Amino acid sequence: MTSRPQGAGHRAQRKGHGATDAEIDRAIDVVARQMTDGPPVGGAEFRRRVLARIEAGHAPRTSWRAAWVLSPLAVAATIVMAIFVARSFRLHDVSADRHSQGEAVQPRDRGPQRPAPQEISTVAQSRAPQPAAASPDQNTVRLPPSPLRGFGGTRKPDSTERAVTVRAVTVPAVTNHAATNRAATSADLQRGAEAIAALTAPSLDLAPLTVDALTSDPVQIDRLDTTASITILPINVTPLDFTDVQRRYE
Amino acid sequence: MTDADLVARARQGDLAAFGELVDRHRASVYRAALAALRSPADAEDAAQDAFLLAYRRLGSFRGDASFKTWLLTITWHQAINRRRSLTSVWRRMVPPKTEVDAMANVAAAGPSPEQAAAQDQLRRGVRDAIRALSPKLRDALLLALAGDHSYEEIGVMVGAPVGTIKWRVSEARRIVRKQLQERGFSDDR
Repeated sequence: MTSRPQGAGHRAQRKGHGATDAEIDRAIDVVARQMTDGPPVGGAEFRRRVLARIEAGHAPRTSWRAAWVLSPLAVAATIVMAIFVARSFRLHDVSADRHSQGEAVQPRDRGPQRPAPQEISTVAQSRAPQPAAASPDQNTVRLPPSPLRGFGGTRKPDSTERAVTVRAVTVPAVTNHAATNRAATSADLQRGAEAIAALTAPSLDLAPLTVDALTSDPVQIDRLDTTASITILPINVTPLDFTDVQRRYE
Repeated sequence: MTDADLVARARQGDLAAFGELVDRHRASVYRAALAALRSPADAEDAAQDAFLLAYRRLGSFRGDASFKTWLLTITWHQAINRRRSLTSVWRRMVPPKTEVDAMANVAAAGPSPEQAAAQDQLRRGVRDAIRALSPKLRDALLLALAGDHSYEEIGVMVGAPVGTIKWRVSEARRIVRKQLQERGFSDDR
């Protein structure tokens, strides 16, 4: 048994010049019906479209899901792309700037790709004692600072990185000379070549090491004295009489 | 031939039988979708999707409820899903031209132009008040007054008891009446 929704007009009472309750209820009925009574769906046409979609194997449209899910993803992807593009442009500008200023550009720290600290320090040490490399207009090459939160689980700053930075302070003036002066003359090039040649470490003439043959003294071991054999006499045990004990505990 | 017979034939792949079901129920399906979406284009799309989905799920139709109720439930879910889409929201924000045609109503209606204009104004007030209702009250009111669905069917579609549906319809009427009174459409205040 189904119950049909009630219509309007069951509480009509006119109280003045405005609309009565009945008129309002009637208006609600009419308007609600109008709101659900749009243009009629063409019978044959509608049926044909539905059956065509069934035969074509179309899935019900779920574009709203795609819109709700893909829109934020697309926005996030766009933001990430923009950040990367901006960063790459900035890096490109900085490197171009440094090149134009003639600096020896140190590659930016990118974690695993950065040069090992020992290599840098070795280079710095090998170059430091050379008198030709010392020049008053040295440029300072700075490695990128440690992150504020440090590295790894300890969150401590990377001390090796700083040490490297301190050691690698000086860079031979050769490269600086050659780069700072844009109109590089042949004299400059010659000077640079000389400075580079001066950087090479002098060859060391060392006498070959001689080692005397080792003579080993024989190790003498005293002979062990064997002790006399010990004879163990068999122990004779007389059997105990348990009868009294057993009687006591039974 | 009953709906059950047509469903049985459609399950065996008889598209013509399903076409007959489409013809029988398209008006109810369309009105239910229109009650949720208020846009004829969206309602027609939702109705098509509902029939498509119903055809695919014919195997899961157990016959506990009538085919119409089962179909309307699918339709309602499709329409509610579609209602959440951005495009549908936009279409509802921009009223279709067919709804706002005051001069045509004035010319076509009533004994006198003044009364026709007053009635048209009242109906526009009612429409605005219905639109301002909460979705649950508005859905119940529109479905109930569409004329195609019983309270029981509405209850199954919406997933609420019949008593709740009746209360929602009554509450929706009361709120609309109250809003009209506040706007001066009634003498009751």
